[in-house]
Amino acid sequence: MAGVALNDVRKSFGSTEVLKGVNLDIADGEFIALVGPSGCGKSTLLRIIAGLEAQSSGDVVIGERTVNAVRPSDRDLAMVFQSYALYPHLTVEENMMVPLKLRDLSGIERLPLVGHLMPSRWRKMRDVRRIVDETADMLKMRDLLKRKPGQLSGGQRQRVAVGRAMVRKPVAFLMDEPLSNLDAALRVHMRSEIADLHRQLATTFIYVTHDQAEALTMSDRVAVMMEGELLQVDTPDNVYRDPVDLRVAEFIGSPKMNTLPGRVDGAGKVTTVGNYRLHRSLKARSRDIVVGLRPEHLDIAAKAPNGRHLPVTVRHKENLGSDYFVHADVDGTGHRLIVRTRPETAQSLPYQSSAQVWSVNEQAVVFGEDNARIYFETGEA
Amino acid sequence: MSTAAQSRIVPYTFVLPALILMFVILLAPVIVAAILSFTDYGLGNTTVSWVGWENYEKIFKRSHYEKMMTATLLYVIVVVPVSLGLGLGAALLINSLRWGGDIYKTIYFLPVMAALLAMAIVWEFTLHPTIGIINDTLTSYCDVAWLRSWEWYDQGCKDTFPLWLGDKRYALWTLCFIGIWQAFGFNMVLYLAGLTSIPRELYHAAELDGAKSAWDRFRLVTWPMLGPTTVFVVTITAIRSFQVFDTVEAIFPDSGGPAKSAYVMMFVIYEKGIKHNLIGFGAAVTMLFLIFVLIMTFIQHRLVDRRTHYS
Repeated sequence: MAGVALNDVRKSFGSTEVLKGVNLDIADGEFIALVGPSGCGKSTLLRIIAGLEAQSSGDVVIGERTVNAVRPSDRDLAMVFQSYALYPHLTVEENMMVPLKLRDLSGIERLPLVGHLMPSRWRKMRDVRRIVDETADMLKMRDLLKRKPGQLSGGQRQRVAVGRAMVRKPVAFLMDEPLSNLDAALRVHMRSEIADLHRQLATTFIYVTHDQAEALTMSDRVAVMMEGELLQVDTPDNVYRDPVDLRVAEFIGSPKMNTLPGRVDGAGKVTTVGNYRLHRSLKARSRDIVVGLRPEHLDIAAKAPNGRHLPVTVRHKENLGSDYFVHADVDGTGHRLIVRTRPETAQSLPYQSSAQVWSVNEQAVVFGEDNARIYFETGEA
Repeated sequence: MSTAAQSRIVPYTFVLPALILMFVILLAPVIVAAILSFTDYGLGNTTVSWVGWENYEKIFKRSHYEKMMTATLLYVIVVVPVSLGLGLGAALLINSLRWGGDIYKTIYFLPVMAALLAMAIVWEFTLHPTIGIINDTLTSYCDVAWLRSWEWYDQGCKDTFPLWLGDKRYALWTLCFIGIWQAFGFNMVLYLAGLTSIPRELYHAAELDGAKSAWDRFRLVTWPMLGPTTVFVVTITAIRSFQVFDTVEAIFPDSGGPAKSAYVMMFVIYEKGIKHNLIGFGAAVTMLFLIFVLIMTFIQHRLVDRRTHYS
């Protein structure tokens, strides 16, 4: 087990820079999710950690060792690929034996025929079988051992890929979108299995995903990447509640955070389009801003209780059973807001009817035009 | 006709033309050949008599047909593995190139595209005992001392270098060489196609699993993943080797090689069936040839079936 550190890692393909100086310290035993839209460089970063791709500059440190010049097979990492990359001609058991055989058996012992005659091989193979059996028990796939990957379902293959990564007890697990080929229900189930596995193994997990829900639900810390840069590395709670960048705020959370352009006046008071005013004052004066409002921070009714409101027209309602998401356009601006509300409230609002939206407890996150967060003077860290 | 009966018959009438064509064009000739192989038929003969297994008995009892079997099988057994190995080797090397692969591909593929008959004539000149470039070159290095320490070479310098095509100890091997020269480019192209279909991620997985040497990666990923290609390459090359004819006909048109050492099956079919107008006997050899090919195809099918889990 070991931590992983990245120091100013850069990568260019020709003239396009895909990683623009990434610094990241991953603690030993931590589960960190690298999350970002496709093409943000997160997979490239993972492959650089694995050694499958060489960085243009910067250092990768695993444990105490700088591994820039160390080939992938000597970094003692294991990787679960998006496509699982199981050896199709080998049974599940043989697939899981591969890393152990390559590590423990000498070149001669691995030869066909000749190797099988060597007593030292038999001894080592006993250990290999025992470890594979133990791993299979742990992942509850004992009955799959004799099958070939082609005879397995997506979820089973995924499990075998994890098993193959586990047998060698690597210092860290790298996972490259391991759940993206599974159907929705199975994905949710596997999330909890992988999180469980991390608790049992207590090894460093580096998990790449484009699905912010996966990142939020499984990891200790989330690293949000965009356009080759790490925008924020923090706990899932902090990334959701306290985003430091507009792009983070918009990427994390489903449905997406609502944004309204606005302006802060000379006294630090915020006014958005639709002439909606907040009472709290901002640590900035006289400039254009973007106000971010999460769906659960807003509420909607035919008539707002305290008068201050945004006038809207109801366009669409999504019924989630316990809640409704009401899609409404701010009158006269074309900005769409998504508001989470109680079913009874939503049912009382017909389509195309006028309604009023307000911010519950004035919760909002404000960003400057450069996407950087601007804090309120009180009540926020 | 009742509607039910009609609906039973109509589908068959749609299939019928295809079935008839298949029978007339593909199956009937084989059946006719099979029947002819039990007769003494010759083109233009007025009488045909049933001779039973006599033609087949000849094949298995007469010594020059024994030579035919030896020559054909030896040719197949040599050409298939060597051209497969060279084809795979060339494909792996070309595949590892960053650039220039296309040039090599084209060059190695040239013998496949060239007419073997014409190429056989070129080889005949090249291998000519006195004016051929091979023996000329060999002779010109006779004053190199360390080459002379090789007994075979020393013998060649003292006496003469082999009559590649005129000596029964060399003739078939020389034909094998030409066969390999011609076939390996084709196998290379098949293997190149096979190599491109191996997912890159398998190599990455192998690397992370600890496969450090090229040999480990070849054993773990490349060779097994090329399994289906190999089955195909072996079958195709074996069938094409069974069919070797152009080189023998071009180089030994009258004899089938010195002491019938290159008396291969296709040549026998042509010589007996066409030149000597012994169609019955030619048909018998053809049947034997078909059986070999069917066995090859059958083995291929079994192997491909076994590998259905490749996906």
